Amino acid sequence: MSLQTNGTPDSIRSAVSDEVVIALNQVNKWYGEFHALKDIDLSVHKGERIVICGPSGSGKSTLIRCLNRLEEHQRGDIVVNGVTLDTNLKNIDAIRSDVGMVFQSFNLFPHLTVLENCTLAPIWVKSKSKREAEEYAMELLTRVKIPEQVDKYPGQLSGGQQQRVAIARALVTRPLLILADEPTGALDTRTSLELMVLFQDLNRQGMTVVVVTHESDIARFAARLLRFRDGHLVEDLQQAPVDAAKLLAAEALPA
Amino acid sequence: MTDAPTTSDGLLVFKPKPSLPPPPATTGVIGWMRFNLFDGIYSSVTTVIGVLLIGYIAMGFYEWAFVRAVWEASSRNECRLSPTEFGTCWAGVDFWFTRFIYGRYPDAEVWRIDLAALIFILWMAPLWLPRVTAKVVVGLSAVMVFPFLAGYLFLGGERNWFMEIMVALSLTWFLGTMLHVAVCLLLNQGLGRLTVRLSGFSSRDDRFHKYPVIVLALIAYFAVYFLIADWQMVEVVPNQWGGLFLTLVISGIGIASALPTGIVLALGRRSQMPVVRVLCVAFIELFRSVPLITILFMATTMFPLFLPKGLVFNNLASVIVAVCLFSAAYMAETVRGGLQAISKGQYEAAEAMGLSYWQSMGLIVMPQALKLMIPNIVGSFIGLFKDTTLVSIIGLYDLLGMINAISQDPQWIGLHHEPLFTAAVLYFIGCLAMSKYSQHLERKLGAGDRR
Ligand SMILES: Nc1ncnc2c1ncn2[C@@H]1O[C@H](COP(=O)(O)OP(=O)(O)OP(=O)(O)O)[C@@H](O)[C@H]1O
Ligand SMILES: [Mg+2]
Repeated sequence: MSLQTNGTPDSIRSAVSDEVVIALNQVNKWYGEFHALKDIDLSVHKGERIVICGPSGSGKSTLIRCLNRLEEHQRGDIVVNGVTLDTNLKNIDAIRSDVGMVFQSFNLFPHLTVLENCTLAPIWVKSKSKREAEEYAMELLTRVKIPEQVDKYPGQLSGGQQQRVAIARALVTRPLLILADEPTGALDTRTSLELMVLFQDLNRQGMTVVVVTHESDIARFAARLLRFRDGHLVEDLQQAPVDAAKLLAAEALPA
Repeated sequence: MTDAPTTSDGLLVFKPKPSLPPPPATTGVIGWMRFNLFDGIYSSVTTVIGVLLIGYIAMGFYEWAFVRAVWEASSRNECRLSPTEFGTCWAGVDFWFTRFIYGRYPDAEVWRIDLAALIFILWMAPLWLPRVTAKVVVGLSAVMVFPFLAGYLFLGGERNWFMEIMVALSLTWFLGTMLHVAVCLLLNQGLGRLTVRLSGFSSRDDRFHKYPVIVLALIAYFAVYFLIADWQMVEVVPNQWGGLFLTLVISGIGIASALPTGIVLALGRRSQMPVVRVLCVAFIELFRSVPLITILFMATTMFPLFLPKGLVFNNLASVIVAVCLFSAAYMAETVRGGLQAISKGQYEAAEAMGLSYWQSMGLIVMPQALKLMIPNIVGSFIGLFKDTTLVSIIGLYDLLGMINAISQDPQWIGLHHEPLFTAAVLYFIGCLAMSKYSQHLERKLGAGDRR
């Protein structure tokens, strides 16, 4: 069964398979007394491209942070990539090395250069050689348009540049699933568009992409849209996504 | 408005400006003085009073230290009867100076201490040479490996099997480091890289590059091991150690051990495992709430009671153990403070990447925390260096102990001020060096990420 809507142009139709990467069943999460996620049911197939939107404080970040267990949920089941998230630490380590995460606040490592930030996980978690890790990191950093900044420290970059490093850092391990929390928050319109092209490319190669955003501009590039309000999942809808690459090409012409 | 570029219809045209160098600083010495020292009536009066006060103190000191100085005398009485009357008796300090430095270490063997000091300086010096690679290994080995060689140089006598192994290791490591530094300076590449190239392994996969290095290290080790097998020196028992040398031994070991044990204790205190946490908290709180002098007394008087009969633990060893435990407890709290300054986001980013606990500690958290902690760490090192003077109370002749000893020497009886001043200068130099080094380190490590 394909989840793709009929109106999707072929060029950006992602290879959605039957395999379920994320399955949530009646998930509830409390911060102390505060009920942050309420009875969330969700299933995401491998290769889907999803946008989560909703007002500030509605639980978007909380949800994706539960997916790699940076937060612990109290009731319900979360299964990621076939592994049930519970107190078993081994399971969690297995998940984390296959899930890339872009934080809302970037969380770059200030004591490492941009390149070192990006090669840390491939070298130490994926046991890649330094050369191999640096090659792929450079490729991604070039894709996000900051190859000339690689020897700087994060503190020496502008907000948008830091955000692009954070995105490259999440992608260097070639994760199966990427969770991006407001990845365009500090980017200008054009750079956001270029980032969407990158996400659509990666998605076409089989990566599952989950993006949190509240910009409707960004939301239209996804094939599926989830809307949150007050900790509820209130809307789950398929839509015909816009092809970011075409839009970029069209925009580039007049300039 | 004369030559602003405009089009024919009068609109302003954008013309990019080239980047210019920043303007030079304008104030000179006079300007600086006027601005900082004589900026209004109060400021001028304060400056004048301050200068007068400094001048008065400096004059008094000059009079005491230089005008009345007596350099040639064979006893304190001679100094007193000197032409200037109540002469300042530097002759006594001069006469005892080697004793201040080496304590009662036999004169004929003093070269061993000098040699160890020279080796240590040579071992640390590469840290300041920009072309030397693998500085972390060099620095760490100077702290972790060097003590075995130094220990044998100081103590002499017969080596047991453990010391046999460690002294050879230490010496090999030192020679290897020196060779590495020479190679770095001459050929601009590390010893490891050179070995790989000369052995013809560079064409192979990266994974095999370690083998020629390991083989070379083993050959060197066994060569040194058999060469020094028959080498032995006269034994100098710790009771003869003293002076600045003893001060440096005690505080050096305390300083070197404080940081690693402090880190372990601090991590233990934040651990999820209740038993580990309780043990660490108990240890830290116990040692922090008892004065060092009490711990030292207990170490020398009560500690031997717990040891099995026959096992004699000399005073110095007990004192060193006590100082290490004490400084570890303090360091643990310093480290914990530094760990708290690291934001939760950093831990989360490391976790989310899939780094293990020890990886995220070693690669992400500790490097950042240690950098923040440098001033506090060096502060406790300086404190420890000065606190070792307490060992003179329990009968060890450290620098202060030797200073007291001179005033009991029949020839120099009652000579206090000059030796104390000398000790103050020596301590000042030691503390200033540590303080300056920490500032240098802070500047170097903080270069990239200021914002
Ligand atoms: N660590 C925490 N402790 C207590 N409450 C929290 C914590 N983190 C989040 N919350 C609360 O949970 C709710 C959801 O937070 P969340 O960060 O998921 O919002 P969001 O949808 O990502 O909002 P935004 O768009 O502003 O990022 C908020 O009301 C917030 O106050
Ligand atoms: Mg959020």
